[in-house]
Amino acid sequence: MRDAMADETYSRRGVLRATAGTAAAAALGSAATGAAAAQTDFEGWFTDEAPGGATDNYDGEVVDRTGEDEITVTVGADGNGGTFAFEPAAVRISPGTTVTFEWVSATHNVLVESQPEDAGWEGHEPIENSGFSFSSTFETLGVYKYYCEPHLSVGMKGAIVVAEGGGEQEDAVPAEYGDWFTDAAPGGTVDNYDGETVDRTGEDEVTVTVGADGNGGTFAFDPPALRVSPGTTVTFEWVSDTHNVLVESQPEDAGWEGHEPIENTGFSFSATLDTRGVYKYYCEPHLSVGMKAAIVVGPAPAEDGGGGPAGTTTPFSPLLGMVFAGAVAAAMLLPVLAGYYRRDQPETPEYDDVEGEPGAGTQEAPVEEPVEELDHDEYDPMGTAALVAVYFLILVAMWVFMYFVEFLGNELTVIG
Amino acid sequence: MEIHRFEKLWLVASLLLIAGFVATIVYGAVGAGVAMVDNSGGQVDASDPTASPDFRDPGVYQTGDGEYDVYVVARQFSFTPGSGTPIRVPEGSEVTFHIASRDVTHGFNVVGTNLNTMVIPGQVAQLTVEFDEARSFHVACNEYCGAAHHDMTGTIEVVPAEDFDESEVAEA
Repeated sequence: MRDAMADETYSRRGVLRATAGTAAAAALGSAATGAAAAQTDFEGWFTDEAPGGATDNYDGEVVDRTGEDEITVTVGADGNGGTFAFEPAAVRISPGTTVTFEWVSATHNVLVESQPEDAGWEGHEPIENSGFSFSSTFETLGVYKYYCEPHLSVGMKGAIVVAEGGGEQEDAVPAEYGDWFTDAAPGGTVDNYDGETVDRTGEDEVTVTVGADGNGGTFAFDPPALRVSPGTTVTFEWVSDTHNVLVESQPEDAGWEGHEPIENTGFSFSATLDTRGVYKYYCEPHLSVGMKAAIVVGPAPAEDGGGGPAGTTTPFSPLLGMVFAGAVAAAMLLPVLAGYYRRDQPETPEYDDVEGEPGAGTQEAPVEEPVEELDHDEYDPMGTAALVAVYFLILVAMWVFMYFVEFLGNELTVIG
Repeated sequence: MEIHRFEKLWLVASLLLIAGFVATIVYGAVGAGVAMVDNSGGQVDASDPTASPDFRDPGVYQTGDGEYDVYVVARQFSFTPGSGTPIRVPEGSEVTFHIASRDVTHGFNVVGTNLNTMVIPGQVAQLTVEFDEARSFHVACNEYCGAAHHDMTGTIEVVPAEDFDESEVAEA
């Protein structure tokens, strides 16, 4: 299970890297990828495929304590079926950080499973009881894996990642929405999304308003793009009628189901989002007007700034604007130029002005005598009769077809 | 006045045509039993139809042997029931729809059939129909009702009588 989760994390990062909107983001992503995958996975260190049992208190999250001079790891904290846990199980620190191991229960030690080649951490082999503590300062970049010998079999394992500067980036989730907020994705353009991802990381509870003003009515999620920390409880509050929340996409191992029944003002439901990644969701009745939104779970990359990737909005091209303005101006000037060009042309002469007498340009047709005269009833307008007959047949055919075939022949008819 | 014999011919033909048209309408109303949607549905609260005593909560109600009443509320941009959960009635039943809007004017058009009515706020559109065949129908709103008008659709499922779950019928 842990393995599978780690693999998915890896592949998702690969995708994110491949689709990063800016060169900077791409560079950042690729730099982070290798390290990040290794560090959340730890090559299976927290599973039972490594020596010892699975580490249940490791939830896939590497606690970020970079930038701090001193941190504490609790030895013998609650977990793994007793007081058999290092807390936090995995922690990321900056080089030079002093880590203090504090015993809060009895019979534990700290043995080093692996560490960077040129590091010389020794752990603490003697078995100690509550109240003991020791400190180590970690200088060498890399991953340190350690465990408690007496309780290895129940999964009392830990890891320390020493990472250069802003280790945060390695766990960061870029705000990559693809074309979700445009009409290239299903549904309309999300007008209330201005490219800003509202950052609410670090809060335990965040509220999203369902049916807020926007998108041509009360058809908006507010905020449309939201960033929260893993484990945050997001509450969806209905402030107008006839909305639901359907999940378009979410990280592979996340199981958010949204809320499919259509609800009205006053309804609310909550979801706790633990899995890092981008969750896209929408309101089914109002998808076409752009009632779409996304939640990013995880910290922002340092250079992300919460903004969306390039390409979600079509930038206005000044060149195109100038060409258009030029074309309009040219079209308006054309008659003036034409008039100027034709200023010396002689005026078109009237027909009556042709040399000679007025009216000489027209000729009367000679009057002809009738060849044969017929009485009123002697003439048979066969052509007209044929035309009327054809019209009559067309009318009858349309009448029969429209009423008897198309109307009465239809499956259902109102009978009361 | 002298009228040419050909003219007399097509004058008579056109009079026959008009008589035929009138006879057709009479046949439709009397013989085929085609009815019009009229104001017999009565009036309801324009913003909350179910608040009116004459309009029940949206759902399917049995009113007799093989006779059902279906109360539908239309709103931007869905039919309840219809859009989320389909309207389910048994095959061979006579169903009376009572449709009301709670916001703007909508349409209720069972696509490909003669069932088609406006749904005017404050007014119940009432129409009765016999479903003789087990199949499903699409319902579309055909009065422009707002930005997502084109998404306002629903479904009527006519199921074989033996498959009809009586528990789906709302309590009277």
